[in-house]
Amino acid sequence: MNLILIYAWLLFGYLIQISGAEKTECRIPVYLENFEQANKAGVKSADGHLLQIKKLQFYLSCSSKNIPDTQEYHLIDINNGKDTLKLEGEPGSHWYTGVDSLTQKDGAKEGDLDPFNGMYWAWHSGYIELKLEGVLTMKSGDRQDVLIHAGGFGPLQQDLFPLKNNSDRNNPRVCLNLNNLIQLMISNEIFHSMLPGEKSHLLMKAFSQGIQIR
Amino acid sequence: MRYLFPIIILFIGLISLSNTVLQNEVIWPEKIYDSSSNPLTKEKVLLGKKLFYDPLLSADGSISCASCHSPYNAFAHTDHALSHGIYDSIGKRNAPALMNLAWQPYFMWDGAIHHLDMQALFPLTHPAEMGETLNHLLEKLQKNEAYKTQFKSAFGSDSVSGERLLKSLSAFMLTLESKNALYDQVKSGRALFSEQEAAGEKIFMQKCASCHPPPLFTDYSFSNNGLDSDSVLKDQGRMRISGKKSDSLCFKVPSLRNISYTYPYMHDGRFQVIQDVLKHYASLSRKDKYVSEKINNIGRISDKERVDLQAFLLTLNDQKFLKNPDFRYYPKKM
Repeated sequence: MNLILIYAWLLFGYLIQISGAEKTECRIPVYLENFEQANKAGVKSADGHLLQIKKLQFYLSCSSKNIPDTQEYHLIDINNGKDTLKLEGEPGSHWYTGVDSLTQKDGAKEGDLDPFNGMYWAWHSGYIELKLEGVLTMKSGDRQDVLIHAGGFGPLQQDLFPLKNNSDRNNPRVCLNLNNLIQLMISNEIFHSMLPGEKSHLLMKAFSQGIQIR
Repeated sequence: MRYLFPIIILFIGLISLSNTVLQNEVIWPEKIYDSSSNPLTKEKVLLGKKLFYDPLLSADGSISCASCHSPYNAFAHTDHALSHGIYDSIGKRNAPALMNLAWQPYFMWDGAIHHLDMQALFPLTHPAEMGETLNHLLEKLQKNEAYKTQFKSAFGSDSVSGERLLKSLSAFMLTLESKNALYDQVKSGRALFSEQEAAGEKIFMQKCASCHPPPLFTDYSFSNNGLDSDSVLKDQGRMRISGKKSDSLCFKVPSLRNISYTYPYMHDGRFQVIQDVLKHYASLSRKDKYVSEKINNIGRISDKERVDLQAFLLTLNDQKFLKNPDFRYYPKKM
């Protein structure tokens, strides 16, 4: 009888430990590199182009080591202060941008995937994975309105874009550099993109290449 | 005899309760849409729903009606200032929420369309929206066996005509009735406002209800609400239709039902949050001869009043409308 009580007590302690561990939150900051608050709140690219950002929202995904085999999507909104990723427990090593096509085809979800966030197109197009709106002033002085809603699913669309993970720490940070994206916009003259497809894919790829976990 | 007294008390109680409910019951006006010309049948509504959600209706197969009128957002286009169209095109106006359309006498922000059955023609054929021609669309539908079967069950024969297409779309849109917000529950005696919501309602009835009267929360009039003209869009509003100078910058007063889900606000989506809208009205201090008289008469709105007003406006959100499975589209199950 005593042995059963001891086992029960140990089991209880173990359960408490597990539930306690799950409640440990990990906050991961997202940094936008080369952001100049003084310079009309813009990002200056390596080539000297200035992108003033009115809206920058995107889906970032990282599973938690404590909850394996789950893919959670976090909506990062740089302008509205939602620039922190909150995980329950230690972050896993696989990081992505975007939303996988199975989730997209499954229809609207809740939480950060709630259509209330304005990131859902329709059942036949899926989710907007990157929303970038602003004005690009090129080195030459030419100005272009930027309206990019990229993502969705389709034959040309990659599911998720894996990110470079150079972090071996438990408290990494996400560093976002828009150089690649600005370069692509200028060289391919893509300043508007509102639908899934080839343009959208190129934009997502260039955007994702500029993100590193450090 | 000893039960007589409690029975009388119970009787009086029931009478007073029913009076309260009856007094508060929301009385809706007569519908404007004449359904005798387009009787609603289950088959027609299902066909209309399929058409509403089908990107086949656009020239390049990328845009459906639901692309700008999402069922998850009260059939508005949340967080999109201007409507989207085929080939990455951008429209000139904010896509309005679709609900309670049987009561609407005019459609579009400038009232260019007078009948619901005609309304869908505009986005279907507009080059910056779905960019299709009616003839080509009918051809596409006529070639589609699934549609032919559905047209047959809805109309008795598989002939696909413009009239049938438009009436089916109307049939589905007519089912989009939003009448179960907290406001409706309070008015029918099924719930109570908080103190702040009640205070907000009082202010609303004094300052806003002349253009946004319940239960539709719009009078469908055209109004210049003091917004500056956008230098890029150069949208003159109702004047484009009527040709009258007095209609310059007049736009149709929108319903405030489901207000949380229909952001951004105004005809060009310039305000992202409700408080910005209220601040705009609060800032209209000087009398402007072009601004509609009702709006010039709003008077001062204090900061506290703005907060109370927002609390009341949030009672117009109808979760049941948003979550109604009949309005959603599940292609595999259709």
